[in-house]
Amino acid sequence: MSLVEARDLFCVYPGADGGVAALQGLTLDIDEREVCVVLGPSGSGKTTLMRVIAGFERAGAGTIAVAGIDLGSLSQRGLARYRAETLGYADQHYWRSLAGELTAEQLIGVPLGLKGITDRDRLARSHSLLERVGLRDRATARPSELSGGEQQRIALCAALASRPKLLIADEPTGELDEASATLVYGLLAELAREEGVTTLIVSHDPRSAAIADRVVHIRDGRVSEERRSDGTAVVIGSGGWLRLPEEALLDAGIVDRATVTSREGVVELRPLGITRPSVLMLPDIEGAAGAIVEVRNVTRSYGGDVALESVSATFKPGQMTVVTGPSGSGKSTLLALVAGLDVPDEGEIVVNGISLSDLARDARACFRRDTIAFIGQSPGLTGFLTARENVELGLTIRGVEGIEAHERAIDALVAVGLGEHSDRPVDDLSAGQRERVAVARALAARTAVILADEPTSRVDVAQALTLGGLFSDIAHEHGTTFVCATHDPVLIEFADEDIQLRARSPVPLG
Amino acid sequence: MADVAGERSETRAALYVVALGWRRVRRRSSGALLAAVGIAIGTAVLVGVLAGTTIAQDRSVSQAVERIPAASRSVRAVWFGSPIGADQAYARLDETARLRLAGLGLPGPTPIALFRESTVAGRFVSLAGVEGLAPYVTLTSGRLPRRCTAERCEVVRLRGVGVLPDAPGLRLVEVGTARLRSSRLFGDFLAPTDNALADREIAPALQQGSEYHRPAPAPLVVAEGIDALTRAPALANTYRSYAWIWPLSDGSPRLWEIDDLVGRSEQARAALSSRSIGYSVQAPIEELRATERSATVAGRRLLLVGGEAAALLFAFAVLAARGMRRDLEAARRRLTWYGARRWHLRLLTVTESVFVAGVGAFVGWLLGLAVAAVVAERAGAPIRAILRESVLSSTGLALAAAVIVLATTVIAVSTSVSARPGKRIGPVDAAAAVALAIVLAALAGGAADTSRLADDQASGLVLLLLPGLIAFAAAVAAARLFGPLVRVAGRLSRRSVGTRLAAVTLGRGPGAAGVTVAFLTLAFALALLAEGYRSTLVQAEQDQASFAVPLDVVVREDLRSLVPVLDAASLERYSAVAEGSKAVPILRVRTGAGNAEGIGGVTMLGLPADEIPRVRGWRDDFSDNSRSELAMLVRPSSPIAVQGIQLGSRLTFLAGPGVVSLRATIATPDGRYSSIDLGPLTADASTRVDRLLPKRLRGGTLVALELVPPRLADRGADAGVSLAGRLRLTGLEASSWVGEGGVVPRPVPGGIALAFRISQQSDARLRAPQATDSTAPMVLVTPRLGILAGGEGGKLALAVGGRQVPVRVAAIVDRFPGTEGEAVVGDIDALRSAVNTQVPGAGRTNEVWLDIPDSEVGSAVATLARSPYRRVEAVSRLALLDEVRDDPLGHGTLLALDSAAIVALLLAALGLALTVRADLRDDQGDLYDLEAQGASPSLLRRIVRLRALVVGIAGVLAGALAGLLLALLVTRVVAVTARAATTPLPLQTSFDLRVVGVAAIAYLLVAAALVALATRRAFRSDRGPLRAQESGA
Repeated sequence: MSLVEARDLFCVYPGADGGVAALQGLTLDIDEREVCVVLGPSGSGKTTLMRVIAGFERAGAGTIAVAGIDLGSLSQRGLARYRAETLGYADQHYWRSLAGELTAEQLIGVPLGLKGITDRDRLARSHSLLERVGLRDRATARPSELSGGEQQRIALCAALASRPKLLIADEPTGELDEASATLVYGLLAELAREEGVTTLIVSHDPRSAAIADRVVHIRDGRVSEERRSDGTAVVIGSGGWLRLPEEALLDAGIVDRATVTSREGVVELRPLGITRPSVLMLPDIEGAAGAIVEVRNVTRSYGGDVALESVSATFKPGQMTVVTGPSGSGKSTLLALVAGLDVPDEGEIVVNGISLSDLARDARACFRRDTIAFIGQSPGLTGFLTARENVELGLTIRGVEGIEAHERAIDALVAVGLGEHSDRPVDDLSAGQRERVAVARALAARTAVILADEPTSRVDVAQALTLGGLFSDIAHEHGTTFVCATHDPVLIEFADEDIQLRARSPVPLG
Repeated sequence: MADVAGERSETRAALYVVALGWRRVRRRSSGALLAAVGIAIGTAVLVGVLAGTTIAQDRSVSQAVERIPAASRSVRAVWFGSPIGADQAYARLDETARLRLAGLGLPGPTPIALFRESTVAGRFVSLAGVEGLAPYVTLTSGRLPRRCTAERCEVVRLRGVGVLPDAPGLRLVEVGTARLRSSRLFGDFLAPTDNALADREIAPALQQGSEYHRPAPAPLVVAEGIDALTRAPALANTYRSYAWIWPLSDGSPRLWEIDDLVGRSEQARAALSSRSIGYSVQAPIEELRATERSATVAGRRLLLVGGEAAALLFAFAVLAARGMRRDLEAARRRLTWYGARRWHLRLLTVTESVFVAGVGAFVGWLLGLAVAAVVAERAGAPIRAILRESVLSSTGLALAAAVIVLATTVIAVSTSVSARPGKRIGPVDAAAAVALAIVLAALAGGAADTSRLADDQASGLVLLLLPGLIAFAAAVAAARLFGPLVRVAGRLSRRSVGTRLAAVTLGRGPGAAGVTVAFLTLAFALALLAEGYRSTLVQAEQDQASFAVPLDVVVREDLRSLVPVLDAASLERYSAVAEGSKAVPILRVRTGAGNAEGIGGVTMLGLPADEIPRVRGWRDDFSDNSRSELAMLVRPSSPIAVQGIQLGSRLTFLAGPGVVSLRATIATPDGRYSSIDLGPLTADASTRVDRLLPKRLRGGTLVALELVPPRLADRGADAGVSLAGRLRLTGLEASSWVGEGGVVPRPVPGGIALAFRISQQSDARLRAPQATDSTAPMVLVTPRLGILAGGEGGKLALAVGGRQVPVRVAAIVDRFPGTEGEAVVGDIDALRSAVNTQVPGAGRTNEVWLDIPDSEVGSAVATLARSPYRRVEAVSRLALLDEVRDDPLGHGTLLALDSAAIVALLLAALGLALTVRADLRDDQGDLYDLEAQGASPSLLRRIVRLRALVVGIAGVLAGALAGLLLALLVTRVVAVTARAATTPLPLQTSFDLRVVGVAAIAYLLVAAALVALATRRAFRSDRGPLRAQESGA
């Protein structure tokens, strides 16, 4: 029997160009006591799905029922009551769910305190859960006195304290090392089954699949495939929407067109010509020769947490290299180190023979102005300025002004397909167009190295394909060293090299 | 595992949330502490102002009580009469009086008995008895009397000479002489000295009259004790008055005791009157009520200042609460994940707000209490009573409760509402619109009428809230405008990378900066208002002193002694009161303007035209013309001298025949006028007039001859008919003279022939033509008189002594120093001539203005207190200013305004620094992106500082505009002086530019230092921005 029944969910966030669809007809059932893992790249709609099921967001269309409760018909008060009575929630940033002023036993007791449970019963439940996760002796410790793994376990206990019917865990191991992650996954599965709670885990991390009864992949706001112990299935949405695994399409040589033939029991797709995705045409813009970027045995810790440990890698000119790995594996940290926005605790970053560790912060900024362009997870654009003005502003920081800045900005915007939109305020552009403005800003800098951190997290597949092609072309045609940290398989497909961060050490896949 | 299902309780859940909130406040206190500090200071200011107001009012009342004449400065029950029967025995009267006035709460009473001047045992004597005489007299010889008994009644003599009576049961024995220390004891019954009139230097004529009419006074003696006197058989039938006196002294009554005192006095008066018609109760009720009213107005205005300062501090608390908001939002989000319902979240917000506001308000209340106690102690006010009547009164406690509620609401709202206003109209905009609507409605509906500050509670409240409402609306408008303006600046700026990036990054999310701009607008507006209002009040006091005393000292006739100023000393002697002094003669005449509606009287002021530019107290808003232009307009075209026939020691001429008498009017060389009767003419022949002139008239000028008709009785039935006739004057050079009142002159050989038709109702005369006959004096007039005259160039007839004095309007001035109400101002010679032409002698110098070098004013004032000047009244401008400066209400008001301005500026600087800190924390993402694009740490630091500069400048500009508007408005609607007095001189908004300049520089230095301190460590880490994020996270 299904505990969660989601039918044709649509969820659109308002935007200047009419809105961004985070969910597009998503349909999903989760059975009682089932442990369901939802996987998907950034921007695929995982978080929105989770928020809709948790009652933090309302679906624009479709229905969602949990434990027989139609969430769409509930008032805000009803949703709050629903969350109190039915839901347990564990956030990706576990430390955000732990109030620093409370001890471990008090933290676990918060959901119970909100229900008016007596101190005695509250403590008993807290101690029982602490016992279960092996932290009974840390009952009076505050979060600051606990390790990351311990904190996550406390957060899980707190989510389960009030015996919810449904537990939602958002990237539960995103900020843990591998050992801790494995332990937490194990505990999560055990606790969920012992408590008889239906569990929905949202993750990037394929390891989470190990504890799942069912793994659901979503992309573009729809379920694309399901994997159960008895095999893999694609999901057909209402109206016949079908999402096929990327690798299957690539294996079949299908890019954006296919012919369909059907007969009883069989639907057959055949590629309609073998083509590369259509990428933007690079005009004759001047580029800088690439630079060899060497990451030599780099370690970086924040507080007690190791973000990168003994990582070595080389990023070559004329190549598009992607850095992949689960959340918290240190991708962003690595890019920041390469950009000189941070320096390693150990090891060094060498760009074109210059060790960034030897440079002061001011000098690194100066070096960055000349050598490195950085596309952050957030585009960092100014909404009230036009696309051109944004690019010009970036150039102004690099000391390029006047006519030259204007020409470079126009060229770069044309290169990313925004020539017609150069005088529109960025606020009026779509998320994908904004991402392209950020790329144009980097491109206009004409640096040897371009670093991009999750550049497709806010764009759909078509736009991801476009950007992937563009990045690849920039690297190949200008000899630029292009490094991209991403989860997105679409982008990964365009990479010349994939450096996968896992278990705190790089595993070049070649 | 425990079964938790059946043991739930909503109450327990609520208590749990409350406990959670308390735990959070205790442990996460950075933002909360700042907000609490803001609230604490705000509350302390409110409490301090409340207590300070009471202290200032109390001191003001004390001073006002001291200013009440000694004779009236007491509550006294009095019984008059000659006692008949046991009911009117002194003991019964005493018991009744004491009983009825027992609740006054004043020390006393001192009973006295005063027996009217009468003959006792053959001796004419005035006799008094006092219970406890010693404090009221100063011995001049002998000793104080012992208690009066029937056998020996010792007395001291207060005045007079003569033997004292020695009657059975009343043997008066004089043991000394004394004088009364003040009139407090006997009031108007007895002067404090034995003969007040004899003590005064009065006009010789009055002196003579006084001596002629006053018999030798009876000796006045006073005994210690009353009983023996009231029982003395010799006084049994003597009319007497008993009085029971409760002196108002030693700080009584206090402000809060006035109502009670007045009420009890009234009750006692009614009760005693019903008991005996001989009783009355006298108390300075009008004086006390006036004092109370003045104190109330000033007190409310002080609250206005304090209220504004407190509002500012609350605004600061809102700014500081931004630090709480992030943390509280995180907590609310966390609790939502744990299943918190909406009421849980609201309860948590309210709980934390209550804790912060409650703790802040309580600490502030205690702080204010301590400050109030210290101030009261230093002011010499009773600490307990002051606190009981202010901070600990029901109003004070209600205020504290209101502060907690308000502060809780402020914190709760500011930690719940987004600090980044969107494009839509939000509740804050709506509140600002409502505030503006209230202001406009109040101004249009007259609720902001000054007079209502004291009388009408509701309108008074609106008036008090006006500045706050305007400042709030201005602050919201400034915050709203800030975003678009910085965006425009961001697009247009090409000056430097730092400037452009500062404007651009501000424009990205101007909401948080807008909140700071709003706060700064509020702070600067209130600082400027406070300074402007302070400066305006100070200037107003100076203006008023200068307006009342246009030079340094005004010398005028003392109405108690009636000695004309030039009789006391000559103009030259006045000039000699101090080196470098100059005495300016002034003519001041009370005139009428032809019974024009609403014009009760007109002050005619004459002064040398050349002195007009030197008159102080002039303001440019009085007239469109400069003082020099005005002087030129009224200056006579040629010198004016008295015209007439120069006389020697005799007046000789031939007149008649006729049935009238003649009276000559002669102007003396010293400018006086005098008339002498020349007697009746004979009807059938010419009469030779030949009079030896009195000494004072010799060398004078004959200016007129008056024709006086015979008395009515002599004319019998013709009394109601005008008298017509002719006569001839020979031997007088009067051919050019003019006739008035029915007299028509005609020159004839050797003299002048007069045809006359005269009556009792008009003065008939022949007079010498004067310079002002052909050219009426040019004068400056107030606007209403200008309208009466038909504008500039028009003619106005002023009534002086029943005759019309014509003047011509040279210019219209709103007011002129030295005058009140409607006034006519002109050259003294011209006006004197015009007045004396019509009413000889009425136009004489009766005031002298002294212009004294600043360094000599003190010694000059001292000189004027000595003979011969002490017979006239001298009022100095500095003395008026000193009186103002010593006034506690005025002092308190100015002090409160100063404090408000300083607090506002300090908070503005602190607010800016807090904003910089918040920028560094909240805009890490933006700054990280800039650094990722290649911006160096030094550029980032410059950007943050430039942002602070932009925000600061926006706040200063908006605040200056709003402050200017506020100062103008407040000056207009609260048109009372620092001492809460109304003034004939409207307040004129002024700013002390030196103070504003110094304050601006001080603010810039403090703000720059705080901003530099806040950004000193920013971007210094050599590792990079992630280092900051790491520590920040």
